[in-house]
Amino acid sequence: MRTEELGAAVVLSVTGEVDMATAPELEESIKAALGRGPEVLVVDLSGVSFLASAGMSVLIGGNQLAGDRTGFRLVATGSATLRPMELTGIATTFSIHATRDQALSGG
Amino acid sequence: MNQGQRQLDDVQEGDLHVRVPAVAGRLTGLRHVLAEWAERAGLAPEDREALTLASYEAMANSVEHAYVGQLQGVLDLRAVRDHAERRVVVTVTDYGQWKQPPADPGTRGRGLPLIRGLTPDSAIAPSAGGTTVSMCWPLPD
Repeated sequence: MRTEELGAAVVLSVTGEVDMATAPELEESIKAALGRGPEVLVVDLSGVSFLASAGMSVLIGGNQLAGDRTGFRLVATGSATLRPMELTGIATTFSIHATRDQALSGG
Repeated sequence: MNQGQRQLDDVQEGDLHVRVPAVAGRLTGLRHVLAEWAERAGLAPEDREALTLASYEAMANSVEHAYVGQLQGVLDLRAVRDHAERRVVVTVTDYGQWKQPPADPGTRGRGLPLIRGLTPDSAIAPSAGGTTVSMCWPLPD
């Protein structure tokens, strides 16, 4: 997990597997990133090979915590991350982008 | 002999049966074992991925809900090839209590919808003695 500041945006790059065991680490990283008060937080899931519902709960919580203060955006494509979010119907509650650049520039 | 024991004796060569303590830390390794089994079973890549995630969610459900307030519990993971029906069947069984999902899941509770979405044929059988989640995927011709 890596956090970068790009102007008014913070990008959190997540790699590996997000399951019951690792979801708390993602939660801490998202909270820490939101604590910096960025205009935009991009959570880049491009490097995630497995996303369980425990991880999705953390993303839903992050989106709620961001509220109106920070734009909460995800980078997710493909069967490991986007498909599970679509199947549970939560994909529509997020701002999801195919690439990090699109997430940084898109609203 | 209880039902779990009878099924345990029925394991055929090439089938997978693992009994582990129902704790989160055991599930990651078990998921990898299951993914390898699904590959050996000949499942299509997309179905392997679905099987791995759905089975993980079923196990996570047991870990999270089945043994609340109890010291220790186990779960059984079984994966078998059903050649006659050209399918694989994964079952996850715990011996604890079933927790009815709330009407509004809030931030949590995406496990069961995920299982249903990932599995062409699934069934959840809660009973007084525990809960079994059964999930099937087709074997390629």
